[in-house]
Amino acid sequence: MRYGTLINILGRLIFFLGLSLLFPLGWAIYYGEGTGPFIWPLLLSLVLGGSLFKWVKENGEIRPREGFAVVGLGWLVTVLIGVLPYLISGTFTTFSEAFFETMSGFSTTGASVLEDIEGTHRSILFWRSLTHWLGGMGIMVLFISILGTVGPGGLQVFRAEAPGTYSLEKFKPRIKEMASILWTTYIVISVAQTVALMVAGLDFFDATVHTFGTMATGGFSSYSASIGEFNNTVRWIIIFFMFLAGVNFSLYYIALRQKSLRAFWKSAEFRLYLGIIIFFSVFLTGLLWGEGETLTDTVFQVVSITTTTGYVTADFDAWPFAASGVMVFLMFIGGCAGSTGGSMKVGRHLILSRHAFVEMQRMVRPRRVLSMRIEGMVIPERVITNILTFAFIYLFLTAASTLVVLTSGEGLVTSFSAVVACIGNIGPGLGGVGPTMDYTIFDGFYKIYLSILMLIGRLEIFTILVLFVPNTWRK
Amino acid sequence: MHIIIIGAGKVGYSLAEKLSREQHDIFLVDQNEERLETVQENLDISTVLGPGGNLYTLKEAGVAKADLLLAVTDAEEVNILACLLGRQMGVNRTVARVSSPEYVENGSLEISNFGIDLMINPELVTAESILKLIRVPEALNVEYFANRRVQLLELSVDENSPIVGQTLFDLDFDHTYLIVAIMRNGEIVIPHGKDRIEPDDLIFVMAKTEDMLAVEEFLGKERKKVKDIAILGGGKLGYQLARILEKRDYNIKLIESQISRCQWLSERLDKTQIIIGDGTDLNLLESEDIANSDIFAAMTGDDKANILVSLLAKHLGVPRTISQLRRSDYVPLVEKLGIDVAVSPRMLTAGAIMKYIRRGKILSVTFLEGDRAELLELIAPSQGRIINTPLKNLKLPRGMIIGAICRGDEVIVPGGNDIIGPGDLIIVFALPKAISQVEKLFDGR
Repeated sequence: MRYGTLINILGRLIFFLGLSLLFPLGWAIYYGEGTGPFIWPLLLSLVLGGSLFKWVKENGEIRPREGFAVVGLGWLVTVLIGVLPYLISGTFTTFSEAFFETMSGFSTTGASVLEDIEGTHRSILFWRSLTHWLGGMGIMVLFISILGTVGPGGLQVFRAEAPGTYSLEKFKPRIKEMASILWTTYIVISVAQTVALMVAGLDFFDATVHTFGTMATGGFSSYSASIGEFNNTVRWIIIFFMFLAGVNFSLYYIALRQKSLRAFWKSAEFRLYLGIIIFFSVFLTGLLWGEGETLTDTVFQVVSITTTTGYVTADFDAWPFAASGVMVFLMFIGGCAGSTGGSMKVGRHLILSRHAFVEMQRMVRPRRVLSMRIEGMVIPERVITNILTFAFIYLFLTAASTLVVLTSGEGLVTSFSAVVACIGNIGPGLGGVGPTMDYTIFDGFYKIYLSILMLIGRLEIFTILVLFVPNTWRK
Repeated sequence: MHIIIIGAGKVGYSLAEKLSREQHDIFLVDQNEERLETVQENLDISTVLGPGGNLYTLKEAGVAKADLLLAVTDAEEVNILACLLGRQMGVNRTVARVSSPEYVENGSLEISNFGIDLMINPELVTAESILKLIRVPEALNVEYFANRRVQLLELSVDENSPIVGQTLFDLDFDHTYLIVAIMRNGEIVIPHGKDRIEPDDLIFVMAKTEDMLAVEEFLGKERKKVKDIAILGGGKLGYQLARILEKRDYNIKLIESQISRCQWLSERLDKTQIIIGDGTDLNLLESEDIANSDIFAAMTGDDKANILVSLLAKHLGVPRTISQLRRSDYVPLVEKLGIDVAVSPRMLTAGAIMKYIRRGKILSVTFLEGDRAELLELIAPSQGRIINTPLKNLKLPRGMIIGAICRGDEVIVPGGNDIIGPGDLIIVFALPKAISQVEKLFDGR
């Protein structure tokens, strides 16, 4: 491990993160709210980040095996800076609450322990949503796109952070270019959504806050009623952009380059993603027949939960068991690989289900030689093993964590759905953490525990877990 | 630039490494999936799996948009085919690595009509660089600039050399010369006038070619006349080396173990004495009087044999040994062992191709010690802050030094009072970190 380089990069990251505090600071000045919550962390990160960057010399480039450490520690540092505005402003009085809210923000979970949203400073609400947006496409990816690759380990850094990179297609020869294309796409679609929301009647503040929540598939809103606050036009705009945020972002680039939408249709993952959303929208409409739920709200919940956004317009906890069960099922799906969505990802489900099918055929006829192809490309054995391992740890962690959270005294429905909603970066669960509730029911320990689950889920398990493997730190 | 490299072997890899650091878009094509995975983990480039001479693979690598195609697999047919296909599909410049020297020899083929801009033969490149070392045998490295008017030598400083302990200021001499760099403990530094020379330093000396002999004498180095050369191994490289040495009247003994190969060699080489036998056999070396050769060159394809036999020859009393090393990463280690010079054909080939690619505003690039330092030949711009200012007032960036200024027929090895005039040919020694600053400096703005 090259500690000098590691600390140097973290220093740059802190400096850079400090600059992002300028945005909520602007709102604080605009609304005449206290600027202290932003100025102090801003100064701290500029001084601390600047001096680490200046005084700790790089000892070589980041090697592939250090990529994980850079991302894992980078995120921890980011969250530790992120809690400061909440604590200084007094929005939260305990560290565990502030940590939970910040982690929920950066990991794009959207679970909240903020009880009085309307009574909170607008600048704090803006910072809360901005953390979504920064975490959505990834802080390190943004970092790479601005500062250029951090050495041969750049690809590893990219892989460790970008969602669903079990089979990362390098659609550009250089990481920096790839990172800037992804971020540019992200920014362009975000601007489009902000404009659309403003046309639909939202003010600039609400439009940006909800754009951040949508594009990052986060779920923080500036209203306690979430999207329930808005009319149907706004709801459909948000449905559309949630859907876009769940698509592999490189498809936008390829489609633009080919000047045709063929790329979307050619992608098996996209087809499955679209299929899942259409199927479950229809299915749920059937289940909710006569329950007084509108089509808009049914589709909204399906898209919101599948993409792991977690915005709500209906209390799905109050739905019939089968219908709320569908929501829990969808929590395991997630967006496409290379999207901002969380959870297990459509692509992994696609590969694993094909693999299961091939395995079963092999069992029936052992001498038959079969190779698994998706979009005409053979999926290497190593990728399948990686996904199987991922799925195992993901499900095991969900089961084990449910046990841990059950010790809080909350029931199985609440505990299980809280774990699923946190590790999948979704937000609302069922029961005590249902769409109309928040996570204040849990004590400090459980808040921290669930926050760590969010981070593990956001960085797709391996990035965080390898930090606990002793080999990672050996010289 | 969009660059396609075919073949992820040593040559292809080091080209990809150098070029990706210069921010080019690299597509590396190879048939070996595992090799590509290793490459992918270490370099920031795209890889394409497939045969290099295949239309489909080339399309995958974006051949229509490529500016440059470098085909450097060890199969010359694949390389030539890939270049011809690439040219047909719109690549501007193509480079092929070939194994038959006939392609590269003068007058044998009009290559530009053929569709390939540069054909490079690793054995010939290596043999030529060994020739330079043989002609200046006391040097570890020899490079020429400005039409051979300026010479750069890498010389070792041994303990009892008269210059040990002296500062560069002390080493004043009536012929102008410049110590552009010192390599000490594996690190290359550009020295100041107050720096002292220490034993075991390697110094890079630049001077007019005609003055160099005198300069070397002043620095305590003596140029011994080389007459007898022993070559071990009659493979492609051994043959090439014998062939070009023959033209220059050296007495050459070539030891080769295969009778059929010896026959083949004897049909093609006129003056070389071809000896059949096992080169690792001490008796043979003694009976053939190898100890009395001036230079021993171990050119077999087996690194271990080359190292061993060179050490043996050194032990027998040959003043100078040169070894071929396929594994270029061993070069610094081997030179520590006591073998005077180790040459790596693949590194030299990669260097020669880089030299060709970088041509343009920069007239030539020469890599030293792998790629740890570069020598650039540049033309001074017509204006800018570097023009007509005495060098001592110029505040040049760290990691670079101006080695020579050529104005018309005049060659100046500069001191602080010299100036650069517009249109002068400048030879700059630079460390990799300073390269971009050097380029900016000579941009003329």
